[in-house]
Amino acid sequence: MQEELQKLKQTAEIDFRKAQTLEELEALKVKFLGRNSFLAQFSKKIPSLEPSLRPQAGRLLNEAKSFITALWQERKEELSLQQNKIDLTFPSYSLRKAKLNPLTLVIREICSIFERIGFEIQEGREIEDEWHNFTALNIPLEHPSRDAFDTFYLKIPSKKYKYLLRSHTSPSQIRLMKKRKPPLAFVVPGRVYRPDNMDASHSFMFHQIEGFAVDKDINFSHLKGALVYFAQNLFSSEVKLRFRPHFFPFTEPSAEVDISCFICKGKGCSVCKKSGWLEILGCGMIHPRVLSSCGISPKRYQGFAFGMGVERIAMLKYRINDIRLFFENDLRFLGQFYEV
Amino acid sequence: MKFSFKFLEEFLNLKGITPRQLAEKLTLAGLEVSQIERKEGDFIFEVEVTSNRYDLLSIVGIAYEVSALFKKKIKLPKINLRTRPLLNLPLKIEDEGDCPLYTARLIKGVRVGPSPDWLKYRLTNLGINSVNNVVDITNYCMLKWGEPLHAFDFDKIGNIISVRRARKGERLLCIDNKERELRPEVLVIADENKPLALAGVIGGQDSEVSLTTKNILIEAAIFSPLTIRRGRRSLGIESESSYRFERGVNPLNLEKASASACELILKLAGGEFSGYKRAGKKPSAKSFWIKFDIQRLNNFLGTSIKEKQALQILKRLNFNLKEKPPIILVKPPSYRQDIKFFEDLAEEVARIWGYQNIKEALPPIKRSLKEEASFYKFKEKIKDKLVSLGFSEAITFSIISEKENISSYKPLFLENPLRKEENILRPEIFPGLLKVFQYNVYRKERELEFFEIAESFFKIEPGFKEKTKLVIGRHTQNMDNFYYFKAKLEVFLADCGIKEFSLKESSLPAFSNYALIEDWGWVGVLNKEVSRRLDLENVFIAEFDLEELYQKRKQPYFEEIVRFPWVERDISLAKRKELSFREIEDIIKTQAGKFLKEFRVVDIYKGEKIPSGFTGFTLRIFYQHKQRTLSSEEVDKIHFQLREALAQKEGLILR
Repeated sequence: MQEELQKLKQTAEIDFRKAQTLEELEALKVKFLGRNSFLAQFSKKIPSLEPSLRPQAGRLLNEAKSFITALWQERKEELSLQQNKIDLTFPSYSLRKAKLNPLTLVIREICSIFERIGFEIQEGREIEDEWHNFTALNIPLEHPSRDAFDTFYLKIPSKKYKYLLRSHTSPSQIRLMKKRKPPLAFVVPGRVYRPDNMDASHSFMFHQIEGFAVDKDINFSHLKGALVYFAQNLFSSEVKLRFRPHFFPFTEPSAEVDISCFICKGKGCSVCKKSGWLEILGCGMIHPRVLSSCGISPKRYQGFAFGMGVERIAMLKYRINDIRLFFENDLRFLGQFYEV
Repeated sequence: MKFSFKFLEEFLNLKGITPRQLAEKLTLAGLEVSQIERKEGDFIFEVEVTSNRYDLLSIVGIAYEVSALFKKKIKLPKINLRTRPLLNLPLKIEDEGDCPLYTARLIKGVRVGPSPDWLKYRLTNLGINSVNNVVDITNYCMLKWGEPLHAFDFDKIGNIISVRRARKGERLLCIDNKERELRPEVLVIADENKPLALAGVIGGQDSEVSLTTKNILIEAAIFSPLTIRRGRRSLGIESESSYRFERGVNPLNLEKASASACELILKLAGGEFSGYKRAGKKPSAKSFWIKFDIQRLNNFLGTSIKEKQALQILKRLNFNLKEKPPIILVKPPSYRQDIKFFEDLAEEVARIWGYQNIKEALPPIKRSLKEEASFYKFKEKIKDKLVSLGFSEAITFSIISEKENISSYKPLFLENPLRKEENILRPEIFPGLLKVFQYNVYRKERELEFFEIAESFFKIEPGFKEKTKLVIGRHTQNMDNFYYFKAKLEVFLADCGIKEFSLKESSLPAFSNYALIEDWGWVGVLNKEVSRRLDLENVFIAEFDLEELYQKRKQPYFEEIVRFPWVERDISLAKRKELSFREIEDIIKTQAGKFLKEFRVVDIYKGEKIPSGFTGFTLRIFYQHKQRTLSSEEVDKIHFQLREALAQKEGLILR
């Protein structure tokens, strides 16, 4: 009898292990523990046994029942888990996330860097007049220095100063300096327009960010400090800056600023044209004539200003090789960029 | 512009200085060297001269700069400025404003021939062709002193020389073999018969110096930068001469250049000096005394340069000093007419001191504690809201062609468009989105959702207006997706604080459906012909006046969530296509009143059981009371009334 029970337990173990579905398992449960099972019949036979043998028989029966029940429960749990399991490596649905144009990402990053050191973000209008775009900025209307600022003129009747699409964000600097009195510190992002033929590195419409700070004691070393802080936060903390004396009609002293080429780390490559430096912006101390045009006395106040082309910086930062990509808005292009 | 190492050595001893060292020091002091080329035993430097440093458009000017940077002494040649005998040649200047000074030197009996090699290389290395010894010498002296000179064949010019404006109809065959028709903006050198040369720009072929020339007239003059600029621009021409005149030519070098040209001609081509004539003012150049204040300088630059060091720098740059204790005055050299203010002094000191030696410090910006409301920040939030709703951001061109303009607003025109057809500023910004759809659809992307925030521009008497607009668009193969688009618009506007808005049907060319959203927006469906023409399928556009939305922003407030259960009842309806759903909505709102929680369309079908010209759908009405649970009798009663009201509506069938 003991042997039979032993064999039954072994059979149960094998059978339960073989079951692949919960239905099979249920059938096996009925087979081993149900009304017509061996154990049930065995249980019926116990009363007809000799009284001295009954307790042991009862014990063996219960022990066999518990063993098989435990087997059943364990296998049931296993199968339940397995049934709910899926193949995680199976390919997912094709899903695309909506994206911001990378120019917006760069403008946000640049503006927030300057905001951290106290600059306020403001914007200006795109239609301007010659006074704000040139005269107030000390750019004479007929002079070789004007050649660098070719402009789109508009057919709008005007009295003295013709209307145009701003060729840089600097006129917005003028408007803010006229509206608000020192101390001032602003960054002004926005679209600008120049009649340049489109090619891989030029577009007739692009974006600039203008920045300036005016107070009693703002000096050239502060200009350097602000720009070094900016470059090290936007590109990398290892980036070095080089300030080269230059000329702009609206700043004096003026400088062009290069950053060390972060692509070849100064060794020389095709991006930095083997020089190891990348030109990224122009800056300087605001010219006294410009301050005066805005009603600010250059004897009491001084300040600095800087301007940068957003597309150029975005192309350097993201290694984009054609400016036209920003304005095609191809989903395969937009999909490549995200905020970090 | 180019200069060469050997040419520079005519003024300075450059022993111990390599071309690379020279390039680096010049660059860091403001004259950017972009390239160094080895050629014919010389080093050619390509530099970018800024428009204020016209003094660097000459070798002597660069030599002064190098002498200041390397502390080397400059050696100026001794030149005999012969002004006798006087030339008996009438010189007439029509307007001294155009030409303040004109000089002529006559050399007779020259032998015009090829130039010696050293002279040839001086020119060809810097990109100027060698013509003959006389012409080459004039170009050589221009490069050396910065004074453009011109040589005439004296026998080919008449009896008087006049400097005047060209008259309408006059023509001149120039030495570049092009005949040009002249106009009053152009200044010419002429004799009694005809123009001989375009003053300060280019000479005439008839009077040019050739191998048969025997007698030469050397012109050295000052022309007004503005006159030269206007004249040469009107003819679409430029030259090494005009480039220099436009930027500034130092009158004090004029005699030196002219006289040294004569000396060299006599040496290389023989001949005899036969006379000098001058018309106009004696050459002079104004310079200003500027107050030098070391404390102000250090405050301005953020440095701690000692007064002695700063003054040393200015001395190296050939400034003059005048001490009237306690004031120090400095005067820039005559060839630096660009230095007028204290700030110009600061730049000179800073660039020689070295910008790299100025320590950097963060600016002490006193941030105003009152934050000005920022339209920029509002726009960026809008962008994030739209991205979270699935719209990608497009940036497209503000300049479009007149043909693309579909707007009730009058556009603004460009005077000088880059391409003739792209000649207006867009009054509505959605044309940009249509191009984005075309671009992506062509690349097999058919389900597109985009937005753009940009300026729109239009004419409004008496002037113009510039407005910031937001456009949201969807391109899809399935027209039914319009209601998803509409849902996103509603969610977006709700997120801007606008929970309700009115739609008023209107019309706009190119749209089959077009409705105004209050008075600050519109939504439309592009009509099939236009879509087909653009190779597009279904296009939905909504445009908003962002400045208006900005004014409408307001903080949200918590509204108690109703905790009482609601009851749903469905009604199956069929509506005639022309019947506006809004009329059904009005009935629902009127009948259900304050028991209406919301309603939804849960099913739309166009099957066989629907009569033609009708759309079938199921409405699900949600009834709820804000303060208690509604009983099913109450709901039944209201719902029955609603059904009755709907059944009576013209064009509506209950099913």
